[in-house]
Amino acid sequence: MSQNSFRTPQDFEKLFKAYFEPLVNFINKYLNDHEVSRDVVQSTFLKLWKNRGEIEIKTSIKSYLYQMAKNTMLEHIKKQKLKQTESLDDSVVEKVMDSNIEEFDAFIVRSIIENSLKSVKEKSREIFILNKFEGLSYDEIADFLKISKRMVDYNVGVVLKHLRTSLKNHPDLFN
Amino acid sequence: MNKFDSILKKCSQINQFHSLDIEHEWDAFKDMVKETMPDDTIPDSSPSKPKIVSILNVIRTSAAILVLIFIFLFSFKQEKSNRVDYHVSKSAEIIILSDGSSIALAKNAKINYPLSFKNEKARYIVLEGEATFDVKKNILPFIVRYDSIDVRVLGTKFILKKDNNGIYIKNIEGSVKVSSISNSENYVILKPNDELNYMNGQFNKLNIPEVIEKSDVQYKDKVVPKLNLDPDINSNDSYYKLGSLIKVFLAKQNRKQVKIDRRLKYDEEQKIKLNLNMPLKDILEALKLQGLIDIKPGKCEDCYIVVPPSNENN
Repeated sequence: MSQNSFRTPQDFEKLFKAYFEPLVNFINKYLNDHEVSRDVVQSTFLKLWKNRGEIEIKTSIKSYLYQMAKNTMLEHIKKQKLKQTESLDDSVVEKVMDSNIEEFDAFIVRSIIENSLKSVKEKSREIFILNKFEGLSYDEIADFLKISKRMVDYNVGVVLKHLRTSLKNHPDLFN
Repeated sequence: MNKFDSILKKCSQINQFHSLDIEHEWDAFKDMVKETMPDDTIPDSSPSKPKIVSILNVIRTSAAILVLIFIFLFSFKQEKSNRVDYHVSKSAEIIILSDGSSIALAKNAKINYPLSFKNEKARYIVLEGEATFDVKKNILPFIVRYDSIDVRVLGTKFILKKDNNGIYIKNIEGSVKVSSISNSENYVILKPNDELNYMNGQFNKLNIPEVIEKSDVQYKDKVVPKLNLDPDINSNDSYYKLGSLIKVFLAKQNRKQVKIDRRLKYDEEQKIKLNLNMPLKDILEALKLQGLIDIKPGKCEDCYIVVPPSNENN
């Protein structure tokens, strides 16, 4: 996806569908409110759409979106502070300020993994989650599921191969 | 550790991740854009939809045209295949049409007829050679194109043949309209037992005292062509081949009433003078009188078994 390929409705839809979910989850990490995070990301995309004619992106669309979402989140925090309805301490703002694009990449990958895992066999998905997300070793998984270690290795390999293909097809994940 | 593994590790450190229905989110976003920017362009892929719709319409229209062409070709093919040609090469035969009409075809007769009259505007037959028609009444006119004339009826029995003296038509029952192909205004209507000869565009009365005619048609009342097979043109009798009489008239046309004994032997080419308008029993008696057959009663009251003449039986 090129830098400014979001001006047509078709390109904008692609962009929205690629980044909406990881952005919501990224924002939610700091705001810890899923609905508010969703509103923040919606506002981000709305701004992008409203100003699509004027915006000239010099970096990547992913970085631009990430930065826009962060700014919208910070605006939201400031507004909440003014309203004094939410107890957001300054450390949240600092954490948001300190976040980097690689952190956002992790959410993109997680989003891709979540969607990719829907299309792999249940057994493979379970083994992969135990290994990569629950942190269990191959031996522990083999013992837990009463299967061979080789079977664990095979299933993790199947999911990784599937994931690599999905990630490779992502427009600008590693830009 | 490469970048992928590094990201994967970070990915695993995400404690909370909510999967979203992205299509639903996109729809919600579009609705929001509509509300907030009523005059702005809606970020919808719909601009491409008319294109897709128009392409689909083109495809649909093309498909419809193809289907119509296919139906047309198929029906045309059906129409073509619905008609069959038949040539009676050896002995006289009877064919029964789908409307129940029967055509007794003499040897060497050729006929082109439809296997079915469905979707036809007329029961249209093309004939060459000699044939006797028994046409069942039907809403569709029965038209026989015979050489240079059309014979049009609704339900009747008639004989059609041609020789050196022209076309001979004998109407047995009902009414028959005979017209010239080249001039449809040139026609005559035959009543029962009327006979007609047609040659060189002229209709010639034979035994009939009166022919309904068009004013522009001239009839040669005094010039009566002599037909080879029917020299006695002023009587209702005609000459028939014995083979046709037995195989076609008796064995096929009257098969419900007449059974032919397999032992019956006869000369197929022998010409017999008969009036086929007589009752069946009289016809059989006439043949018996000539010593050609003998008759035995059949299973029903009006049923007969045609057996060899008595002298042969003995």
